[in-house]
Amino acid sequence: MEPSTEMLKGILEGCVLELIGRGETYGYAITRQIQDLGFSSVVEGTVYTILVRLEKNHLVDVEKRPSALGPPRKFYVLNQAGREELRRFWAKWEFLAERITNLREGSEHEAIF
Amino acid sequence: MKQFFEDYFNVKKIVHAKREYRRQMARVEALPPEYQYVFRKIQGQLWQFAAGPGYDMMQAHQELLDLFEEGAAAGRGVLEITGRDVAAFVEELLRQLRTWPEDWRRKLNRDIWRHVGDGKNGERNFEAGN
Repeated sequence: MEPSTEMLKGILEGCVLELIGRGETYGYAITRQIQDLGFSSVVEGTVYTILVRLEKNHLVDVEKRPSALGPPRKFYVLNQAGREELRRFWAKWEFLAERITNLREGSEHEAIF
Repeated sequence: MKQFFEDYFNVKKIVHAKREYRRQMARVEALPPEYQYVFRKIQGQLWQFAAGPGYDMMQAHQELLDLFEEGAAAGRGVLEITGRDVAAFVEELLRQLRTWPEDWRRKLNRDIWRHVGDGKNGERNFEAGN
């Protein structure tokens, strides 16, 4: 049951941070990993806009390397600020998951009355 | 004010920008036809909505070109890169292009906070408009 892009948007940035945090990577590889998770509607363009934002906000270090196929390819690693942002993302996710689940469990109780 | 003169009257910058522009146009023309079509459509939208002097637009175009060139070189269709909802992709691009420092959102909030105070316990909601 794949969520709409709207719902995914905020979360995707965190996912991208997590994936970059696991080791130097590039746009297409990140896209494939997210698609393999089950989010088939996520395309390179989506990941691209996220990467642009991360770079703009100085959360990643970028290195351009020549590539066999097409223009030089950008490789991304997390910097200190990026790691901090990733930590914050998981904290927010925990909070969100817990509260929303509470809401759902709360209503199941109310239905009895 | 200085920025204005730098952007519009700096001849060296203008000449450089023109050269860059021609280089970019050559790259666009080297793309497969469907990529070219989509690129120009997107370009049209960006020019309509982007604020401020054109220079950051140049960078956005470069990056979009890199993305398209990589996709084309890998033999993928253009909609595989942008997704079917190309308008949504453009909307995201436009959000990235908010480079004008005094974006109306920041100014609105700043003016209001200055006037009525900036909210609970002086805490600023930095998520809005950031």
